[in-house]
Amino acid sequence: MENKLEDFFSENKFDFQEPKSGHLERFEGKLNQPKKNSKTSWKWLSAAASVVLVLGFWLGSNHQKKQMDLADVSPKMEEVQNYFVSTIHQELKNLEKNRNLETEIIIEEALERLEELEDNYKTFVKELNIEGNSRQIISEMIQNYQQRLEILENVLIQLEQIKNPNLIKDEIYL
Amino acid sequence: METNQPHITNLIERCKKFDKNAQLLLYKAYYSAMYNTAHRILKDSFEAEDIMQEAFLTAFTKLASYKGEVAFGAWLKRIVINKSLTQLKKNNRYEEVKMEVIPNDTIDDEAIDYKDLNPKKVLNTLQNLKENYRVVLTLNLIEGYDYEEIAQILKYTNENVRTTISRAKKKLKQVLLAENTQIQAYGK
Repeated sequence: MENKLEDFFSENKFDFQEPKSGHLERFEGKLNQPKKNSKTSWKWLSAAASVVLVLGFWLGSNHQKKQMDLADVSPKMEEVQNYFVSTIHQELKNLEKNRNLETEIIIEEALERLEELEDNYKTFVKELNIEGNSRQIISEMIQNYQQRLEILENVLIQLEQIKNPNLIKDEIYL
Repeated sequence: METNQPHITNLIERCKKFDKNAQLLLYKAYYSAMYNTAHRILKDSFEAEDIMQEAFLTAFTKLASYKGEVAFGAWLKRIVINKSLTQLKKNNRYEEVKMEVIPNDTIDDEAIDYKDLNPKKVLNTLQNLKENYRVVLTLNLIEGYDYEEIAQILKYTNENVRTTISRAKKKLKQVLLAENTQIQAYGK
């Protein structure tokens, strides 16, 4: 009968663990800490973050013209930057479409890494304005864009795998 | 669900006013059960403590929304379970879930002598099952949630929960039976 297993579990206790000593003091410490605001619904925060990110690209390509950016180096570079900005923009849109509970964490992490890279990029822009047309800085800026794209592409592959685990596996075998 | 004992109700009222002593007393009353619940899901003492304490802090800040429809312990436990599962997902971000084929022969429940089973060993066996089996069986057999509640907690469909639990039970019985016969063989 199916019920024997259930009976066994309801008749016995399964609390065998005890927290490590000092847990009460550690909890008191947490209680007395001023409340971190990390609980302010990170869904909203992340949505806001991605809006800021996308906006950042637009502002980055429009507003920063006061400052010299990659696009100001040469018409070729302008093309390069436009390509990256629009592709990243597109991929971000794809990413948002895939946002759900399962993928939340992956997407968040990717967005964080993108923001880091964006910060790095800003320092390159500053350097470019100070040092003028430097080959090294320009190639680092391009690499920076490439890295952002790579992150996005990797995440999209992962998301695809989550959505459709069998499909990807089959493809490998084919 | 059982209702709260009077002194718990009293503590909850004081906690709603952020009375620190009452918060500590409530912690002392429930930490052990909550810690074990988190530990069964996370299988890690450090994470279990952290999640358990986080759950208490969340509970204290959200206490106004606790209307007493269920016992406080049950309400708190849901917070612990949700947080533990979120953490578990975080830990497994890149881990691939294996599909397992379970032979379709029915397990003869009579063959397992439940009287001889040691709860600690059974828990250990359960925890060594693959993860989704482990989680559904923990929720179903130990925490006592029904299929519908588990579907809600895990955001699975009812159908999915039913099949997963029945497969998981089958698998657990298989392993228990195998272990049991092994012990008997050694005993000879």
